[in-house]
Amino acid sequence: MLGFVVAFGLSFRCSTAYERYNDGRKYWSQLTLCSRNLGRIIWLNIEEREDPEHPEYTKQDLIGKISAINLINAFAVALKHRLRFEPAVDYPDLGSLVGHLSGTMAGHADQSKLRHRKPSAMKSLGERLGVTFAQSNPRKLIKRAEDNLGNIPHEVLAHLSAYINKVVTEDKNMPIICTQNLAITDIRIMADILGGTERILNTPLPLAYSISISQITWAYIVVLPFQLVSKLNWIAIPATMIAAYIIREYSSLRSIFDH
Amino acid sequence: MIGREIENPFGNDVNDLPLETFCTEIAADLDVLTSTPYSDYKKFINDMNNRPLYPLSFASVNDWDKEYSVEDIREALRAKATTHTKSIAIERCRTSNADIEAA
Repeated sequence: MLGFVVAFGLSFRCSTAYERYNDGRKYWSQLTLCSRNLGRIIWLNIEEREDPEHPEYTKQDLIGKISAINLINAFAVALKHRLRFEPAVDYPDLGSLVGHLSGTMAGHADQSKLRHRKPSAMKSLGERLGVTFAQSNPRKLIKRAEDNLGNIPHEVLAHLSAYINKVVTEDKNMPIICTQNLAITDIRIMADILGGTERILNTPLPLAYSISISQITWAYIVVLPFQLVSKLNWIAIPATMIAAYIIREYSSLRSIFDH
Repeated sequence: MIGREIENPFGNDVNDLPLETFCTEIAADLDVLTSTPYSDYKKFINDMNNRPLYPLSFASVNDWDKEYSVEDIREALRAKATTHTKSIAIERCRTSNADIEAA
């Protein structure tokens, strides 16, 4: 009878976890869409001015467009690192994309504190066996840092907005007004994606649910051998161990799906 | 009973959302935003560390501006598209073919 309640609790946990997985997938596909749209608008709708008095404008405008499109790429990579709790700037795929942004606070922070330390042998053994108290805190790099590490995707978006702003008001080489509107809207959508993915990451399952579910599963596992021994005799011992492992696997699926 | 506690997620119970943390996060983000003046957009384009054709070329933007013409830059962009990243569609086809063959 207890089995019914356990099944209900575990299926609830798995379905909420899978919902998060799907939400995350939707946000990233929306980011692909948005990056393509913004890239197309920047590349096609910003002119490279051909001014006979200032011949250098053509090349400068071209380099400006390339730099802005690289920032769209930088946003996705920076978002990836942020969602994996990796606050540093000098990762091989990120360093050359955001190194030139003078404002990044993570760039000013002490980089040596932002690198993973090699875990000791006992800890790696514990992590491999899935023992709960040996799991390392995924947020530990952020916890260990003392400076304000900033928000690199957000800073990238601020630079992109500044670029669009100046192209429209100073250089005046983005003449079609509705494309200006679309560019600003796309940057807004990217900011929404940043907020939405952070929401998925940072919302904990309500404590009451996780406590009650683990209490029920442990109670079930404790009572299980007494129910089985009358039918299976000595096979009950390995059968209980296997069943306990499977049930704990289901409840730990939640932590895998949560990211 | 649990449902009644969770119905209102904004209170002070253990089961409720950490609103203080959210407020601190908003404040920190706004502080980070206002820490830099974004008034001179050309600064980030002309900064020495800007490498516009990364990863095809590690050359900084000053080199591209001074030594190469517009045609050179366009040719480099074409080269970057053909050499740098393979289309992800090809890799997906390869992996799904492997699955079909293994099955």
